[in-house]
Amino acid sequence: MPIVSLLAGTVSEWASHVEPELWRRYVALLLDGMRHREGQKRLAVDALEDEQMDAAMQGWHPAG
Amino acid sequence: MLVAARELFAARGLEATLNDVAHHANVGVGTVYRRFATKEELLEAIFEDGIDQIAALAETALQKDDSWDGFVWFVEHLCELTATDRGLREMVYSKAYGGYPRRVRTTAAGSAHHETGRASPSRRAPTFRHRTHGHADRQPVGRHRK
Repeated sequence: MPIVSLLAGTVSEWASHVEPELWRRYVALLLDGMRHREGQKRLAVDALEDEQMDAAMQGWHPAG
Repeated sequence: MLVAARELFAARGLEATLNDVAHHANVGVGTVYRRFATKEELLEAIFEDGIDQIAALAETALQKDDSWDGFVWFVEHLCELTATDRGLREMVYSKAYGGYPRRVRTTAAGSAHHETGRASPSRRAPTFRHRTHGHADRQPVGRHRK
């Protein structure tokens, strides 16, 4: 969930002066990709476990 | 002052200082420091609201009949909030300031019980793959915390 939300934020920072709603396109792509379908291949990398998520959040110091 | 501070953090992220807040709000630096001894105190005051909003979204999403629709609704609305507010993003996803709010985690985790406690035979149970462990692990969306 943080990844999706951070992505939306980054897209927005990058292009909101051109198209403020552009993030919706990429959130829709991600959501569609999360949906189960028959015959899907395993993704290259597993999602973070809770402890890894905590570690990522611990290590991300957005300045200040 | 709080409105001005939220605007400033939304635009510039949490790197903005109390001095910046004072300038943005057109008040003296001393005025800011009298109300908030540290930036963390000010952030807490500002983002309590944002975090309440996210928790409320999660609660609303749980009411949707279809768990996939609820999940999509939550993600889209969460992103609506955070896409335009850099300060809120930094606050919510970094332990340096807050961390993913416990209340939201609790609400999302609670959805698992919510789902199972509400078994409706006619209701479609949309699924998606949990992490990437393959089809055997697919579960109703409501079971996930992320």
